[in-house]
Amino acid sequence: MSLPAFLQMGRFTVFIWGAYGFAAVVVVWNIVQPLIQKRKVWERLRRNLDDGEEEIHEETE
Amino acid sequence: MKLIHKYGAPKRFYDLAGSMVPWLAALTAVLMVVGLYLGLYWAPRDYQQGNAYRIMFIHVPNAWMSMMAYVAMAVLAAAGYIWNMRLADILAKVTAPLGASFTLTALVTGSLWGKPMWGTYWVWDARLTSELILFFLYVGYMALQASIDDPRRAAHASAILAIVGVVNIPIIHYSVYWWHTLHQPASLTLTNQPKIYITMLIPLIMMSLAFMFFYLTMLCVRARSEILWRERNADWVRKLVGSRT
Amino acid sequence: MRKQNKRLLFVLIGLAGVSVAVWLVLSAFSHNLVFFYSPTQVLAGKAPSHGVFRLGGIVEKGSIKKEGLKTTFTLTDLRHSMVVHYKGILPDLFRQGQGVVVQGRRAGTTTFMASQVLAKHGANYMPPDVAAELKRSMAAKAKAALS
Repeated sequence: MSLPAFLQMGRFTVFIWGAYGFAAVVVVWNIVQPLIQKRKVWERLRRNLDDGEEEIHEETE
Repeated sequence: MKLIHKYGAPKRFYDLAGSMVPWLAALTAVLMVVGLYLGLYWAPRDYQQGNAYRIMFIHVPNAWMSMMAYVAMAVLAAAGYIWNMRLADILAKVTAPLGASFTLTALVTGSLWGKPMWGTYWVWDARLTSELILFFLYVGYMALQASIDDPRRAAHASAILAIVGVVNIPIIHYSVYWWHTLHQPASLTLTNQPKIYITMLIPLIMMSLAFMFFYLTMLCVRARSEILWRERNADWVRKLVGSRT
Repeated sequence: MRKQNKRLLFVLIGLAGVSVAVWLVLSAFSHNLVFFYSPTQVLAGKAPSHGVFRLGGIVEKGSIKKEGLKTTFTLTDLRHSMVVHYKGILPDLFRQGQGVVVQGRRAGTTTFMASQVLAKHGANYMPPDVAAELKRSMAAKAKAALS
């Protein structure tokens, strides 16, 4: 079976690829969103740490 | 000793999950690629539904996972509430968005399967309605979590909702037997011979395992971020962040 | 009692209470949760006597008559049957021997005017050649049983 024939699933093509496409979008979103979240958390933690150290500096000065 | 039990668990889980994520992700990817190949190309057409039945390979795994994730969430939330296990609270919280995604995918793919086969995108039969209620339970749980700032109080309040909502799970499962529904009964049960031919059953099992490992992978990734943020004032997190700047 | 045990008890009693409540509600509204009635139920007067409701059953073999967009067929639950009239496009799986659910009104004792036809599909999945083989072997078995 060639690729066009594979992509052409008869009368139900739109529904089949629509369903697989929707599932793919949800899966990708479920990968991207936590990774963005992870980066955000790390950024905030680094900022917290920097702020904390500055405070200590101010106290020692 | 009690202190270690109470404060050691999230850190240990953070390290363990960190070492497991690459393996879980790799396993998920392999299962997904093989499952898609088998389901879309290798498996034969169905004698009645032609190619349209191939929607089953994503619809059924997502529907299964929507229920399994809910049970996991309710059990974890209950454990967090009863025994004050902070790790259980965290795992319950990060399960919700994943479970909601599985439910939404099951609903949408089911609808896209229903139109060409049944002749309608949606009917208010007991199976479809109870699955829609499951989606609202997940959304309600997440909204409740988001509306309360204190993580312990948020966990306890939403735990009650999660536990109460668990009665919906047997209703979803048995709806097709208890009432006349448009949705057909299960093709796969623990007690009976499968009603799916073997060459169609193998891709279904592959895809189900793929989505199960996908859940485990993303559970670990999400839980790690949540742990870091909640423990932001703990020494081990400060050290960890300090060592990576 | 320890605090944990108290909370465990609270969760268990709460869950049991909610389950009983839900069970009561579901059994009280059970007739509303029924998506369709079978011809036997309709003829026994269990379906709404007027107004729209759904009727479900199997399309009797050889009963489908088509005339343009108009279709007439017999819907049976193998005990009783009703004649269904419908005008419109039929779903893909509509064929004889197939389970269908029709929505509409009763037009006589055993006639039904449908405004929508939905096809039910079975829980069985197999390739066409296996289905054909199964049909052959079933027919052979039936023949052997008769002779």
